[in-house]
Amino acid sequence: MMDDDLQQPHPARVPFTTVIASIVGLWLCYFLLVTIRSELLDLGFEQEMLWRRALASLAGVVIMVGLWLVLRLFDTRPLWAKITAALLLSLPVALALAEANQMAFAPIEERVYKRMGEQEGLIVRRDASGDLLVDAAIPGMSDTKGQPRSVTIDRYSAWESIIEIAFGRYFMSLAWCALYLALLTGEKARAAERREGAFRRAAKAAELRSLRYQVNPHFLFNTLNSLSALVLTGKTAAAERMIQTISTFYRRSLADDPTSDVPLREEFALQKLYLDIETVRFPDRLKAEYDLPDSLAGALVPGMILQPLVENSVKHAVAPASRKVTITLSAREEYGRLVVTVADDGAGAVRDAARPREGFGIGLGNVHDRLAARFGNEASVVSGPTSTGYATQIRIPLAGEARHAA
Amino acid sequence: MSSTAPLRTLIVDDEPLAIERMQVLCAEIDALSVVGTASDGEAALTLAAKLTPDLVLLDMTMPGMDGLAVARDLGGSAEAAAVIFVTAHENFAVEAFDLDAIDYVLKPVARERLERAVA
Repeated sequence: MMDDDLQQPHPARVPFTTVIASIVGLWLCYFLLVTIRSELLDLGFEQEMLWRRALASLAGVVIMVGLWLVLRLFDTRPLWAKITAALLLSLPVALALAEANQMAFAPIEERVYKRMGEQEGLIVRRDASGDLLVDAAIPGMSDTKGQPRSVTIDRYSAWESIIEIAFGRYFMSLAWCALYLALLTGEKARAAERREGAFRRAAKAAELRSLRYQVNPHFLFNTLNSLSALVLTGKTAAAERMIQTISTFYRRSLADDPTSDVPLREEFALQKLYLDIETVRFPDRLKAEYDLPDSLAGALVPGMILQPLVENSVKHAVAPASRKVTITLSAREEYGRLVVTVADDGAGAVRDAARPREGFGIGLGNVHDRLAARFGNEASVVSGPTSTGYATQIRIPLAGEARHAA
Repeated sequence: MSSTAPLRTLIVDDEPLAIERMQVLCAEIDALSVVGTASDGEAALTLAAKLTPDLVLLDMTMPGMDGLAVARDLGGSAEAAAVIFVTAHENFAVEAFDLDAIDYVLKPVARERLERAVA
């Protein structure tokens, strides 16, 4: 989904349904306004006028769809080209609209004139040559017999009347073109926004991916060394157990989408696998304890977020110690936030209370960067010596099932 | 070397399984004979002084004195034992050879590789 948006962008298009809606809307507007007008003026022939007007409007819709089919060819051209196209294309469109109007209303035109005349006390008729005659009773213009005198009005040529109507239709066409260009600009803005959003998401994902913590490669070699020892000394059951543990650990740590969150229960389980493996290496020197309240088991944390901290404890507390060291993973809620602690009672920390452990910073920096990328100011990492050893606490917003359970 | 008596070998590693593994490997190599094992630097030096081994298979990262420190101290004596570093870390190699180690092998070392190291 994200990749699609990042492809060479398709030129933004106004969706077909939107185009149709705008055209139909325009003509519906025209139809209603003209109908209201004729109601108010009481021009008569309501029924017939209505369906003829509907027919003319329908023809208008068809003609404007044609306009759109041509105008859309200019979608990717500069604005001046689009405006020029609209101005020029509207000329034939206006003529076509006027012609359609003429065809729809021609048969009724005569009768309308007659009716209008009657209302004004005039007689409207045509003579043999097709000229329109209006018989008007104008004072002083009656002939000797007192009959109304006929006034001849030059017959409007068909072209003249079409041009007359086309003039109005031209601006109607331009109005729709303007609406179309506005819609197109809106689509383009939306497409740009989508693309920008996709790029932002991709950049974020890339950042999180780059921050994905790689399990210390020496861990694998040391583990294989232990495994080889179990095989060579014939402890096949223990070897098999270890293979299963390693498989599960690597499957989970490699399969995880680095940008995804996992329930704290899973993160603790993953770290338990890791510490189980390390316990095989250091059977007399490593002890692990876990304190995860049920209410927080479903709370979400970025996957593998504890890995650098647990590795640090093994490397800087267990490996240098000749005695047993306990690593404790614990979680608690504090003012609606999740606090996860990795602590150990290893030597060195108390002695070197003033400065952080050497080489500790890389893993810790990774945790800090990942949390900052994921939560911004909402997360914090605090690391330092304690009365019994060393501890690192991460604080992140409480999210996931825990919120409801707690 | 194979014609002479086997090398009296001291294995030093802080991981019990790593020691066990090395013992098995050494038992399969005629040129080697394990005389002792130590799980930290201090114990290794004490044992080396007592047993005067010909060869020390030395782990690099250990509590207290690390492998490099042990090798430095071993090198001080006249009848210095030969040192082969055994580690999962490849990045100590340069320092190791500065200390005149005869070889530097990576965990988990294959028997053939170890044989070549002592040949």
